[in-house]
Amino acid sequence: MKGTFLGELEELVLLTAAALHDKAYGVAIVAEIKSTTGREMNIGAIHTVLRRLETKGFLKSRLGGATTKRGGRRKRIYTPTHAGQATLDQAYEMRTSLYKRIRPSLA
Amino acid sequence: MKKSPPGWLVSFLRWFCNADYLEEIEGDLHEIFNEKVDARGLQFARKTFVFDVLKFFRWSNFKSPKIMKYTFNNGLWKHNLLITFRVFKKNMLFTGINISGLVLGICSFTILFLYYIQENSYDKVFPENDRIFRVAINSIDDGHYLEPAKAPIPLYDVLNETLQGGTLTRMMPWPGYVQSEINTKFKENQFVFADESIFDLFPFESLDGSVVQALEAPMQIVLTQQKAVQYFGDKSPIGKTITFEDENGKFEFAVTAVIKDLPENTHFHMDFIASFSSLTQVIPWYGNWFYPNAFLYAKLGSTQNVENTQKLAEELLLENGHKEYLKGNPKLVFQKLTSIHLTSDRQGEWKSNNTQISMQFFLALGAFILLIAIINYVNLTTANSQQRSREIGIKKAMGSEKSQLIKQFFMESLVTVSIAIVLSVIVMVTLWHSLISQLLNGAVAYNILTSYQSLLSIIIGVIALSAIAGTYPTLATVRFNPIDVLKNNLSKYLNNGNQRKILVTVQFSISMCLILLTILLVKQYNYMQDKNMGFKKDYQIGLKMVDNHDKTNYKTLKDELKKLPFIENVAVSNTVLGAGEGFYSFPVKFPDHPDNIETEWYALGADEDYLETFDIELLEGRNFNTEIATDQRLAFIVNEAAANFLNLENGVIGQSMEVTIYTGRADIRKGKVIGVVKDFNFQSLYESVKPLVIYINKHPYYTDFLNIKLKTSQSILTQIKSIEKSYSTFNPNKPMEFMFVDDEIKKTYQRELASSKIMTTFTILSILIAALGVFGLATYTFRRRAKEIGIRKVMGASSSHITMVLTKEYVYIILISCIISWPVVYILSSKWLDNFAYSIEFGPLNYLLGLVLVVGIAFGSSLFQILKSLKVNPVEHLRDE
Repeated sequence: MKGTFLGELEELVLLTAAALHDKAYGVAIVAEIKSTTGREMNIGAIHTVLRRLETKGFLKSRLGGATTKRGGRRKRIYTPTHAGQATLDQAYEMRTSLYKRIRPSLA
Repeated sequence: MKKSPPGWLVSFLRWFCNADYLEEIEGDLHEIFNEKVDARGLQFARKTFVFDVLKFFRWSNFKSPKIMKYTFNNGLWKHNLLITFRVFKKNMLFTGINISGLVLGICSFTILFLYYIQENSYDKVFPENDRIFRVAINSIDDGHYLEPAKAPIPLYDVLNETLQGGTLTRMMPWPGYVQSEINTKFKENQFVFADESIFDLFPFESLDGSVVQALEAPMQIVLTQQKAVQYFGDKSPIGKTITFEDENGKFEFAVTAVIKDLPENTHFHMDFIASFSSLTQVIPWYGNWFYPNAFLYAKLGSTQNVENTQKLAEELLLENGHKEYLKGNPKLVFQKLTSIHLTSDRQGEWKSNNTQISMQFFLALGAFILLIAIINYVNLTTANSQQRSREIGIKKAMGSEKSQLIKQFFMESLVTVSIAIVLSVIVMVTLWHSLISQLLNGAVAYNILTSYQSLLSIIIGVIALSAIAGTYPTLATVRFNPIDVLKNNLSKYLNNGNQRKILVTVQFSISMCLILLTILLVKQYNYMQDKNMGFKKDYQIGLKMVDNHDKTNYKTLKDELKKLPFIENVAVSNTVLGAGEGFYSFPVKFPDHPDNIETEWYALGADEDYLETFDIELLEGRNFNTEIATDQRLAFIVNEAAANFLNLENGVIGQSMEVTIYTGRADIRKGKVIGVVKDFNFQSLYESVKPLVIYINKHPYYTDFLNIKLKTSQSILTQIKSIEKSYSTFNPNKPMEFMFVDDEIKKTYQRELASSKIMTTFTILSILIAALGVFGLATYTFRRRAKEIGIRKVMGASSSHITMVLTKEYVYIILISCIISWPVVYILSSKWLDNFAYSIEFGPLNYLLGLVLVVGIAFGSSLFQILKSLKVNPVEHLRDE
């Protein structure tokens, strides 16, 4: 399906957003990616990717609460849609099935 | 300090960022900022905040401009474009006429505009040109105003004292023969002696060698690239010698540098630049106040102003000038470098200059042609708008806003104009070599056209043109009330034929003016070409006596030439007729005249064969006679103008006369008038014939030309070859120099020739555009009136009656155009003809000719439609109701 293909970065962001369970927004995602993979992400790029995932229908967003730390601005919290969840599952299955063929004992 | 990010960065973010995303982005930035404050302190956070903001400065975050949102996003843009092309397809004829008219208009305007820019670009390549002036002197010499372009050489020292931090340079053209080791001898007219400082004022680019110190020592020379190739081939000429030869001797110059050829758009021209200090050898007597003179250029210091410098220089001139020179009451003239090409018309300019007024005229011509094209567009589009009223009515009824309709119609004119401009560019590129570069100076115009400014002006031009052309038709079209339109109640919008008539009248008036002015120009030019000058000018050759040898021994050559079978006669003289220059004035005295006249007349030094060689008619008295010994010194022949000036009862024959002839010394000849010749135009036709005295001269000082009268029997080429043969035996050291008398006369009127060429070309173009417009309008009118014509036919109207009904409108329009244009042409023509002493009578017949042409164009271009509407069966148009 053209247009719903996930790039490497997109998949990583989608996974992280799903893993953060309702606390996924720009800065948090950048911090999470850094702590789990050690990669330093550009915050601007992350925003763009998040919006792209939303237009592709993998993420949905709502505005969350404001804090003083954020200068009174609200967060945009991203959660995966069903389609997003399904895509993640699919990707996981595909990977594990391939991986099983390398080391069947681990599966 | 407050713990907040720099305000201006936040404002910047808000300026570029899409409002939909701003909330979370600003929030994230604050969060990052606060983390940094905690980790590294406030100052670090504020300093690096800019990088964080820049991380969001990306395309996907930008606001989309409103205009894009409305035109691109909602599909209206696409829709308008589609409608535009459908309209074009439906009205192929109108679209074709509109576009071709615009193409012609745009091309004409662009070419004339380029010409204008080209002529205004002269000398602007030189840096700080606003401080460079040419210094010349106005003076009076025995009642004659002298306005030479050159100045006396010692003026250099006078001016030198007035310059504070400025630079002076002298340039003296001194034609001569040039030869190199590999090349034969050529006559070079652009051989110039100049001061080293020439390169400070005019930094020509050097290609080989360096111009620094290139002219420091005597007998050094700088060549242009073209001449370097001509004289030295592909080898470097640096350090080689060039031989220069004039009547004073042979001189060797060492080549020190080669410069790029001078750009065409400079008012001077140089091929060889020799160091000024060489003059001590070449012309040892050069430093005097009288002759030779040199062009003098001054670059003022940055703090100097012209008025004060001029005042100071004039004072110094009075103190230091030569006494004899100061008698002429010399006044200094500072000519701004960049203004010379369009304003200066002094004696002995480098090149023939142009005039500001003709530039403005050509620019106006271009603008008028463009105006005719725009009027076409406006007329045809408004005429067409009624056909489209239903479309507009329905759109309005469906809720379309006026602004949307305006956008749609502007889109149509934008597309039309864009197509026209693209086609114009194609046309101009195609015609560039064959046509345009003949009118313009190709290289200069090409540079102008390919500069970024012209690309910019093309874009501005598209927008401006479509705004001008589109405004009226758009507003005229969108004002329809939808109810009227849909009820087919259009009659109250139809009286706008008046505006169309006015515009057509304007077109016709312009066309009429242009036609009449072209007739005027062409007629005057032909008149000057063909006018009987009073002497025979065809098959006449002027052979130049180039050096002292020639001048002293001309008699040998003359006798030799006379033996050739195709030569009728040969006479010596000091100048060539018709060229307008080279006539000296000498003091004349009439001691026996009742008014004791003492004045100064033009003088022609000739010999006994002169009158016969040029077929000049003798009215009274006799010609010079070789057998009468006293004729050699004591006989004079005058012209009619001189005889009339003397106004003697018993005629002028036998009147005693004294002429002072300067041949290095004053030679006073006291003699008698022996003959009167009919007036002939020895100067250009700008001047009326002045009194002239012809005397016998055999002194080598004035034996400058042999005038040869050829028989017309043989081909000119073989005749010239035989003459050349005789000349090379006579003087083997120099190439022969000769000119045709009729060519020289033609050259005098080059400006008129160029103008009449341009005028004719562009008048034809403008007529073509106007004719296209008339054709289009006629098509439209007859289509609209088809039913009316059908009814008339059914009622029994004859073809001639219908033709009259259809063309009545044009008769009025043309009559009004005459009333407008004729007075304008009358004023312009009489003003212009005042420039000539001999001019055509621009009588009423010419105006009638113009009228006939305009009527012919109007009817010619609607003829097709008239015939079509006469032929058609009335049923065809009446049935479909």
